[in-house]
Amino acid sequence: MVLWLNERVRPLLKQSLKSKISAMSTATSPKYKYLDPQALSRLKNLSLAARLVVEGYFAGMHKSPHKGFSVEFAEHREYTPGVDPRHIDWRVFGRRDKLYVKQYEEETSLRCYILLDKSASMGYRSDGPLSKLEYSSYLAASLAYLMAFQHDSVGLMTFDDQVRENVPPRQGSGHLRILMDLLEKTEPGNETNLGETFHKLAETIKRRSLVVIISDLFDDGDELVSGLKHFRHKKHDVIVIQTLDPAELTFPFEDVSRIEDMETGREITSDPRAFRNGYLEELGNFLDTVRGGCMTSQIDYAVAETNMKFDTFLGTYLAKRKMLMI
Amino acid sequence: MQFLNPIFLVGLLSAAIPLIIHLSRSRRTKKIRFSTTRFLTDQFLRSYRMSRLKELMLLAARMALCALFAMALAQPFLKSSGQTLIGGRQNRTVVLVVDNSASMAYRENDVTLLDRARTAAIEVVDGLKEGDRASVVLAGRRHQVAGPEVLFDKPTPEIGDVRQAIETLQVAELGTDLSQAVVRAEQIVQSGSSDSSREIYVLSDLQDSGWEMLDEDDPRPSGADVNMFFVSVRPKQAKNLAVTAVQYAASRPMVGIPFSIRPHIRNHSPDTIGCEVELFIDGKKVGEQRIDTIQSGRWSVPTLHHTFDEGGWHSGYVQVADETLDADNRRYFAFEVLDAVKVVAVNGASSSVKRLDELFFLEAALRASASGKSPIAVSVELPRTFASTDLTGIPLVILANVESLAPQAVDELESFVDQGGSLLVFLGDKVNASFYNQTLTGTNRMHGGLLPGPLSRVEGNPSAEVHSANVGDIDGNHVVLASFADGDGGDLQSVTLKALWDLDAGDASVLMRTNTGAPLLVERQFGEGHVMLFASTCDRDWTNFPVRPAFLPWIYRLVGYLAQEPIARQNFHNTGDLIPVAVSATEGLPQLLVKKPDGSIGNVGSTGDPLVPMGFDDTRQTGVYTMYAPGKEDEAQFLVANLESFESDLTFLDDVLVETIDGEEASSDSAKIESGIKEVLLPGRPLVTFVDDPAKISEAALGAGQGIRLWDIFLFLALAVALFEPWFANRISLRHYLKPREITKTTSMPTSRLRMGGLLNEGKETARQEDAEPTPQTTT
Repeated sequence: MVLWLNERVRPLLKQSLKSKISAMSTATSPKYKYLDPQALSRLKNLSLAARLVVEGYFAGMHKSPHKGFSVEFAEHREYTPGVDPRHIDWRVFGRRDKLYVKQYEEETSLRCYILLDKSASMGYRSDGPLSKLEYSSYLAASLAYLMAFQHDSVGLMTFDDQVRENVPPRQGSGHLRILMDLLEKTEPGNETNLGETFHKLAETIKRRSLVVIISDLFDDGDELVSGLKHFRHKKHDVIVIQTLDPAELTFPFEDVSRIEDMETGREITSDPRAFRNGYLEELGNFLDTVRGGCMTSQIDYAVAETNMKFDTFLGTYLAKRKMLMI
Repeated sequence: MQFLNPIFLVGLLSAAIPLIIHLSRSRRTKKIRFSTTRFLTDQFLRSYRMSRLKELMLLAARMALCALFAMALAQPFLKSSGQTLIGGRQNRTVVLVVDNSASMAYRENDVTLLDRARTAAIEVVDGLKEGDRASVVLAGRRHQVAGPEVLFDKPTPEIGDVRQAIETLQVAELGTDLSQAVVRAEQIVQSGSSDSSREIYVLSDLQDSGWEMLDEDDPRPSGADVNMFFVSVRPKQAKNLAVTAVQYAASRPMVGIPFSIRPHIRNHSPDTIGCEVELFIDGKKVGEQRIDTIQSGRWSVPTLHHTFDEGGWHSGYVQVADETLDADNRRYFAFEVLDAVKVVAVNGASSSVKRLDELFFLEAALRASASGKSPIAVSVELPRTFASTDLTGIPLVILANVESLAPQAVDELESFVDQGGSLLVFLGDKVNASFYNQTLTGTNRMHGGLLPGPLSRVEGNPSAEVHSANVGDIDGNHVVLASFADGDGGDLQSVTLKALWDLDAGDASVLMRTNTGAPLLVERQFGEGHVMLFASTCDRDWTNFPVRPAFLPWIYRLVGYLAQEPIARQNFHNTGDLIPVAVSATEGLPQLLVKKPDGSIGNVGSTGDPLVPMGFDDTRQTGVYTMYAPGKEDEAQFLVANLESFESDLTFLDDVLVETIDGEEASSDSAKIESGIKEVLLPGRPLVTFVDDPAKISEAALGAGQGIRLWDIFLFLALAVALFEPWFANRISLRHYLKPREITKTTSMPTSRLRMGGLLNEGKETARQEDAEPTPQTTT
């Protein structure tokens, strides 16, 4: 009977889910290019769970610092009158001769802030089909969709040298459309000032949340790490996805070129071959700084190369994150 | 700076190739909008600017490499003194000393030495430009009055004429007179413009025999700034077989008397060889002899015989076969064969009994002939009648044991000998010593008297039964006695003497001595003639000589020698010689023509030399010359001109100088030779260069004479740059252009770690690598 159900009902359920995603994405596809139904279908079985305790409004799949009477035991508390006597742990009473009640972890829905860097450098695209901003938008849209799908609240902030757009976390498909609209409209902006921006945002987000930062992080390494630590200081669970173009990792240019900085407008005429070693060395030092800072602050850090399919990256990343939480 | 091959200067354009490549790469600069330049630090910018500087240095090195090779190919040189202040080209005055002597006909690899010299000379001439001047001096030996032949008395600007003259040069059958040719060339080159570069090129095989040491007392032409180039065109290994001389066993052939001719065949080859020797008389081959071996550097003297049937002038030659050098394969000769020689003999001890007559044996010997008719007719006179004897046409007077002569007769006799006649004196018991010593010797007589010296006393005892002396030493070098020296003419050692007059030979030549050392046969020059004195008798009174077998050839040779006419003794010449012709005070300049060996006719003319006013100097050909007065061809006289024997000796100056010059200072053979020429051959000429290969004449001229060679320096620099360039380029590439994958070995963050898999917490990743997906990673 169970097998029969597995064979007959599960495909129907899958079909139902797929058709639901398709319907949603189909409904948004003319307007929201960052929602790819095929990619989302590949990510459907994954979820973005908070590894740390976060605060949410609704009971959901994430741990909440508010203890309640859920199914997952948290601790014992001395009985006080008025508490439902069903939660008295009689075994403890037997050993200690005092009344204690079981207190359970409250599962809450996740408050997630997606911080999307829209600085000018994010508009860089070498040979790939997507610029870093477009790639990041795909990631943001997919994450927003996944969290909306698991009834989490998700918000979106775009920033360059300051916060440009701020959509607070909400649930529901209507809110998702707002996010998609915002992503569609997001264009590369000005110069980046990540450290200062992160400090401001850390103070802005009051409740403990999951903060997903999608950026190339091209700023002063120490200030950047300081800003990231500020998030952690506020007890936020932080995920940093550094989006990089393959050309930024290999500096493959050969001919003598006039290299223009997309943010500052600074121009350097040089033979890239002469600079390659130094560039890669500096980049390596910078990435080491960021990675080291993230490791010491327990910040989840990943590098996304834009030549990799975003769903592949995201699927792999989420799977690994899930395993690390076990 | 000038260039030997300026056409290669076009190659300088190749220096632009690296520049064009560099500029084309620079022009391909494109604009790249990149996400950030924050990782391009000032340190790297400084490094880049340094690398740009290094690249410019590399570019300069590559351009220099191309330019240096082009310059080296153009063979630049610096004029030592030739460059004018305004950078213009200095004119050149060039004198080419071309050796056209017979040895230059030597053939090696089907090319004559003159061909080599001509090619080198033309190369020099072709290097001359407008405004340059040139002349040509030939080094074939000519007589002293004429000196070396000069084709252009003064350096001419008509270079085309000079070139044509060189192209038409032919080998002359002349000896070599290189030293005089060089001196003449110095005079000519210094007659050119004083502000021009002066150069002398000596193009010769540099035969050792062709150089005569210059007289140090002679004033040398001023100007030590003449660049002299001795260009050797010698064969590598010379081989030559030559007839270097012809010796006659008798001084003069006579009709019916076998005449011996002894050619000297010299082997100048390094190997022992054999050859056939042929004798030609009047164009017909009359004798032949095979010489089986002649060792290297030695000679052979075969004897060839011929008997003349007719008197008069005859000519001929001895010939050997040798392919390398033709000019010395023949040796010509010409002489007048006597068919009737009248000799006056004064009989001082006549007798009615023939065998006791003083002249019995002498006449008998002179009448003897193989053909039955002797060419010598003896006219006997007595001392008292001699004074009235007409000596016209008589070449020889014989005094046989004459006691004394009338003073008039003595005067006539002195005059006769002084004008070229000959006197042969035999002594004996009749001789009045006081008369001889007073009238035939003494300072009061013409030329000190006819006799070589005074008579003192009779040595030995004529009446004794045993002899007191034998014939001792003889002068084998004298034509009369040469055949007796080697025994061919007979044995003189069997001649015994019972008595002979002791005389003081003075400065006369003693041709024969007794075994006691007393003079036996003495010769003395008297004016144009000769006097010979035999200290014993010509009959058997004092000696057995008249009855010895050697007497007949001895007396024949003696009479033949003394009976030849003066001009006949001078008809052998070397090519290039001036043949003097006697000028009669009464008849004035003779009208004479000369038929040369090739049949052409030349004229006897004035020589310009007061000592030899008349003569014939066009003797460039070996062979027989016929001199005659117009209309008197029947009375023609033969002359021969042969190549001087030294010309056959192919020993070269460079070999001699290498052996003789101390090699401590000179490092190479060329340096030794150069040093030898400067110090020994041409002292005071510092700018001498020896060139051992005529193909290098231009190079040597530039290197040592006209200027300083620079292409070696350019080649060295090009090599240095060629070695530096790849090292430098490699160094730049290693530092700046390594591929990223190579960088990963040295940088602190491997590129692989930049990818997502590399950024995971490595401890966890290792622990979970079985489950982990290979790509995106995180770090916590």
